[in-house]
Amino acid sequence: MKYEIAKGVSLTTIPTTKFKNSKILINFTFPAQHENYAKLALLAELLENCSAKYNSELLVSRQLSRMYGASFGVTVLRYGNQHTLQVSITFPSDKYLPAKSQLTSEVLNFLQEMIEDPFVDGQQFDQAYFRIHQSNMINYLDSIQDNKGFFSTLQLQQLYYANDPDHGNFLMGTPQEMSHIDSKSLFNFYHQVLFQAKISILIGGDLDEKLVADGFQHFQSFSDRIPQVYELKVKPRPVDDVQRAAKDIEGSQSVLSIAYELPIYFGDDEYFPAVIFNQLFGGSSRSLLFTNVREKHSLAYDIHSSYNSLVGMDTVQAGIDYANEDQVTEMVADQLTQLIDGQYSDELLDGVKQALVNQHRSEVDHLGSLIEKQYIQQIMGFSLSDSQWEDKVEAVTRKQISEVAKRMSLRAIFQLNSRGH
Amino acid sequence: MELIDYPNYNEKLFVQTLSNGLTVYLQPKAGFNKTTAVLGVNYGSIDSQFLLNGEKVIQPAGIAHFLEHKMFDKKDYDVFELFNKTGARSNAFTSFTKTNYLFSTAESFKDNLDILLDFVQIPYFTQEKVEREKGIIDQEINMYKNDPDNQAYFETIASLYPNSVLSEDIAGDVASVGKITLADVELAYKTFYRPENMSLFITGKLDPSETLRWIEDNQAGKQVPKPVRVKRLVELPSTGDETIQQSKMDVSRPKVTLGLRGNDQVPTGREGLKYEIALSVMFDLFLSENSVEYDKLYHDEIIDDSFSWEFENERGFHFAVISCDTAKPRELIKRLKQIIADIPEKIDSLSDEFQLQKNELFGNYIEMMDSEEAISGQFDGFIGEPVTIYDEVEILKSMTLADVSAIANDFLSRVTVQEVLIQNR
Repeated sequence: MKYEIAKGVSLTTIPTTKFKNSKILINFTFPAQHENYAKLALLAELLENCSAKYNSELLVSRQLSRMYGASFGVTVLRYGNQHTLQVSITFPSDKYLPAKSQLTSEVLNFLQEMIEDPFVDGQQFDQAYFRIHQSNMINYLDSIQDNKGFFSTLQLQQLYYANDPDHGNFLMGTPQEMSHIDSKSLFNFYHQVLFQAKISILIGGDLDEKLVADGFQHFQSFSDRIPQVYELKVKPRPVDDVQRAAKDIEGSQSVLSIAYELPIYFGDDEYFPAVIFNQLFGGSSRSLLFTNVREKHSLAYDIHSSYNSLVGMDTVQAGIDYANEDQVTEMVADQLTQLIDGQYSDELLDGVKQALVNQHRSEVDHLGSLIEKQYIQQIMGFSLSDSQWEDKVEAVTRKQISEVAKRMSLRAIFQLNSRGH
Repeated sequence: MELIDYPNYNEKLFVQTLSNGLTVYLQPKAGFNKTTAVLGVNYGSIDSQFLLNGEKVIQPAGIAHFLEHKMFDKKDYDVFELFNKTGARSNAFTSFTKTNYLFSTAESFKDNLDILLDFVQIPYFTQEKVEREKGIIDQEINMYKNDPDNQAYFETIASLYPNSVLSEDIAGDVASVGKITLADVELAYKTFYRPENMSLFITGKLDPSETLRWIEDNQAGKQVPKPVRVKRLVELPSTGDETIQQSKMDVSRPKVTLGLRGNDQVPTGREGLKYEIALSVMFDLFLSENSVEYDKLYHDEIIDDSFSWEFENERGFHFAVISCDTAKPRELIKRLKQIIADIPEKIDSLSDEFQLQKNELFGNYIEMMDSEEAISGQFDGFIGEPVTIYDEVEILKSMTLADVSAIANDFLSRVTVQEVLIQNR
């Protein structure tokens, strides 16, 4: 069911009695612009940790315990060109709680408090509160380099979108950007988000729909708005050469990251062939990269590829010895050629299709996946029934996969080099 | 089949020990599409030294993890190929005391069940295959060594349990893995991969009697291995004098851990779970975001969201590791030690806080009940009696602050402590 709470504020319900818990997601969305990245990330942090009534992290935490350990979080996400502030909460159904529990109402009150009544001092966030979270965020951003795989992924993204910070920059901004935000300007930004962003609420579980819909009607800020219309799919600017960069580290392993442009998007005719192509390339434990680089040549433990159908990109990452970098780079290219030439067994292809169908049928056992799937279909304006979805998978041919593989164009390579290894 | 009913949560557990010694646990989930099965072997990285029929055997560190990798590699195929045909997901993990093999699937459950039982129970090892695996495992070891958080964690355990099997990484190191031979792998398999040393836990979409029949049919086709006498030799010498063990890596801020080794006796079975839950509650009361102690450390800017703690209770040992990135490592260590020292004196006055913590944990258990991964992951088939999350939640409900206080005092009165500090080069 879909309800309109106000213009530009929708509520979608996914009723099911299968689970013992319920989940609410509230997405505030607008076009992605890098100037906002650090601001929205810090705003998420400030909305998550305190409010006017619960004016310390301790009080928020204890209120969540009172609500039977409800998992509450505020995060930032990017769906293609869509910048998103996501508020989520998962909580047990009253049926399993002591008699007379009315947790849904309590949860709605809590959400309203956290979203609409933040911890402020006049027209800015409380100074001490603001400063400590700003400093924690800076520390977090600085610590990303400790995680070699993630650090490499971010560097690769920057290379891929050279001179395009809206897409190349990390979603949470840089330490410098974070340190330049002040409490007052962030408070203004908060109002912009609250009153101008498109709001999509999704709820799943065994919930009283009317109670929830009425509850959101009481959110004073969820008033009429005219959300911007924009293209969600990211089309990267053309580049002349492959972008390359490398960084030396003292570590025990080198990380090789490679990005290809694959201009096929969610909902396109070639979408299903592209998904299957990626599974064959490096997306599964039977993929060509896994089988040949890892199992046959013992060159890596972790090697995988990922396909992002909102931005039209396919990336490969592998943890390897520095001495083998050229060999592995060559082998990655070879596997792609093999896919163009159709050098893989029917058995492998059938298995990959079977695995996608199997995973698709398994998804309905996770409330979170059910809601996420519903949301993606909603924003992309593309949805299929389960049987249509499976038919599309089954219908993918070798020729289509070969065509997809041909459209892969190498765009960026980032090497994190540990020369001792 | 023995039936254990959990009417409060509309759940049931079926238990049967087969004639070959394998114990089977079946926990159907109504309305679910997917089935998850975990075949556990009561054998982990600490079991590298043992007496086999009276004779002492010492194997290279990392042998259990090595064996886990090798189980997937058959004469002319890889087990992933078999799972791939049905589209199931499969994986395996080795810990200090266990090796778990698992799959999950929404299709062809019986076929996958046979694949799981057959690939773990019918080995195929050759010299060449043993050698080829070493390169892959070296990369796995190097991947973990590249991660400073992982390093800090294992260095802490090593300093709590010096000169013991616990001071080795689960995967061993490149040198010890290099020493593993075909004979080592065969001997380890023969000694520990025995039906009576395994448990099979299945949850999700399943029919209990049909599933049990399939398992019995599968097992009937296999020879029961000849009995052996195995005595595990897990020597855990005392912790040395408390030190801050320091090392250098590329890190943005210093990483600190405080390790707490339990030297008290933990009961087995349900009582052991009670002990674990009680100690978790104790740590929550003093170190979770609900505690005034955490709040103070946070606002004094000694800790931030990188702060975490975990408590492990395994066969023969138990410890906690508290860790955080901080610009003030020595101050943090000093303050944490004071917080821990004050627990016995303060804990009895925290009855409101205790109720709140129980409330939260209760909700967390309800949340886990929707996840096959959590239900199967939380289950330990080797503690003498079946204890599922539905039992754990009942243990929690009946727990009193006095219970927590008594267990906390037992643990803290004999605890030994070590610290690790990783700083930037």
